[in-house]
Amino acid sequence: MKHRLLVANRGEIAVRIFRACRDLGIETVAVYSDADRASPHVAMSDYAVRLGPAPARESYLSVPALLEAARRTGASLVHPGYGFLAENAAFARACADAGRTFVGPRPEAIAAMGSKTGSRELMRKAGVPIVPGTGKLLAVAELAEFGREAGYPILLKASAGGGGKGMRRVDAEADLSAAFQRVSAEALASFGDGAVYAEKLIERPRHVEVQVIGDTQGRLAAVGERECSIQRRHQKVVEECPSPRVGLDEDLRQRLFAAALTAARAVGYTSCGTVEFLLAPDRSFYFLEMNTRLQVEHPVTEEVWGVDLAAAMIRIALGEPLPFSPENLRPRGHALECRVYAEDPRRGFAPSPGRIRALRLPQGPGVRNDVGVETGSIVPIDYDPMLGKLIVHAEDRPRAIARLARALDDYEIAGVETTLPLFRALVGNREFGEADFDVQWLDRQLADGLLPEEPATSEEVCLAAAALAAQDPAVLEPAVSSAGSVWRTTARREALRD
Amino acid sequence: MRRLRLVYRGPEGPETLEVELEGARCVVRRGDVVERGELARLPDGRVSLLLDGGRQICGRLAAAGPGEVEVSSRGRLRRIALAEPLRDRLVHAGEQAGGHTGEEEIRALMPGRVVEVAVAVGGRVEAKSLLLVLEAMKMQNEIRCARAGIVIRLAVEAGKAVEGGALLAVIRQDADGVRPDADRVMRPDAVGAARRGADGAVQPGAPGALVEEPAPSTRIQ
Repeated sequence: MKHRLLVANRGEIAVRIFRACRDLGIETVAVYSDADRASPHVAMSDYAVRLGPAPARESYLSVPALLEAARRTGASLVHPGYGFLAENAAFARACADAGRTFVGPRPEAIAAMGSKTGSRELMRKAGVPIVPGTGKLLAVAELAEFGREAGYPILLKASAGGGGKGMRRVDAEADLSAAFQRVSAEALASFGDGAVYAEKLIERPRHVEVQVIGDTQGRLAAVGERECSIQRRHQKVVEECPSPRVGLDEDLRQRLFAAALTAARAVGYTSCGTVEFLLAPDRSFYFLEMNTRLQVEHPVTEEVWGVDLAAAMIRIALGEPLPFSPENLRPRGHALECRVYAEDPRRGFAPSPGRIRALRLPQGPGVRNDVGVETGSIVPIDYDPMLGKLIVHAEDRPRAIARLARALDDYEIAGVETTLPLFRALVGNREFGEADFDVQWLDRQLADGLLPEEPATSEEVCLAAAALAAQDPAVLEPAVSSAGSVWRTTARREALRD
Repeated sequence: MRRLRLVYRGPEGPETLEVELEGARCVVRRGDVVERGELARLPDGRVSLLLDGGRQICGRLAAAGPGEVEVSSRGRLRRIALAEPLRDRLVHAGEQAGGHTGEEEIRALMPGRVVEVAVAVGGRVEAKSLLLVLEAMKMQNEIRCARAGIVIRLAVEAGKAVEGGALLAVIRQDADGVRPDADRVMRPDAVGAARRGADGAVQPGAPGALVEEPAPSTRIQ
């Protein structure tokens, strides 16, 4: 029987998974909202089904619409991608109940790792190091007790939070009560759950994560680590494999792998998953969370380890054993990934939706683009504004950075502002070059003016003047869609942040 | 032979550029500096300039805003304040009126149509605040005030056609260094909010629509 796979997602990850399907000879089913009828993931699909209007809860988050799409197209497999319903145990269960194979871990594993407090407790029992902290807290007195025990600073977090939302640092007991009330109120407003817990704050940590993969026959392997310390407000911006810090310390690496495998085994993990750790300057590390899905940054692992994680995930879902022998895998070189967002780094990373007037992607040795847009594509305001990822691979980290600089020189996106200028600034930065950073490093750099306004060179002025003379300026296409768009997008940004 | 005069506002202030075009050959005069070269339009819409010294530079041009062009070249995007003298005057008219305390009259230098009014009578404006958007010469021109003050008169409303020279608004400028009720300074978010309000019931997904569900705006780690 020919398999048919539905990707319950959009953008670059839908395109990525469709490519894996093509490699495996599996037919593809795209789903789309009204904002995405003309999107590349639909255009490359064998079958496509409209889900509903643009808002995600009426389209990509609608379980009934997705299951109906799978039924109508006879899709035997459903891949959630990342985001949307990727870590929703109820969706995984609903797929199984509807007779579809969910491409991912078992619903029980998703549920076990989906609760921050629950997964911490599970990890503590399994012997995986966790940051000293509390369970759900409802009273300030309990918090104060923890603060005295663990020492300040501590971090208050919303139990149902994620992605950097609902967190607050507390430096002294005097600030506890006000901070607790604020986090709890924010959590209630954002997530409908006001529960809060506290953790010891690890200062200047790095973010290191381990890729794990398990099959349904009980084989489980760690496929290298990634470092994702380059973050802006707790959101990853640049990821790399291997970690420049862990790469210098084989003992640390083996301890990380062992902890990640213990974590995965504790929930009987199958499929691709990622165990995230905070790595302290003293080489101690702590479990952060496990992402029970394919990660945005999976390509850096694929490049360095020579595996196809997206395809492996599908084969495992079909009941095949691990498609490679972990003990035979050898890492090769260094890979970096930049997340290219339609955001303006010079204006506080305000979203920059609009039409992509021109798109020229870099090519050549060691350059890979996983992209979900094309020339002429409209970047809608409705979803995460990531356009795609630029991945470079070379023999070592300095050469990978040089290759990244070359690729950025060749990268052209016109019509929307993007985060490309940020990456350009990074490749020339000494501390980035020396991998001397932690998870707050980029925020500090941005505050210190990492992105200076550079005046145009005289050659650029010359080119502009000559080109203006050669054509009527009135027929020039506008660079960004609307006048005053900065103010509008700022307002939208605020609306999104609420 | 085609001749074009342009005003370039770089770090050193406004200067005049002269461009001569004869077929593909072009000469750009910028003060004492004269650059000669050959201009080619590429099939994908970019332009390549090959200077006589051998330097090649290639990029794509777009209209960035009133009196500005955007050049994307070698992965960089740059906004260059470069415009024909008339448009340059239109865009920078307010700045020439600045420099003293008093009332600033904002006038339309060209006939056009008011697309949008961003301020209200009695509202505070900062230097270079957007006052209104005037469509003229097939472009939307942002009309800004030169200095901070209070809007004391608005002579137009959105949708109205205006003649060249017509009064658009009057700003009473602050005395130097004095910023009364600075907490009421117009901020971009305040304007954005006002625009959202004015849109009324926006369709979900339409520009300016509020996105309510947290899931899509929460980035994936």
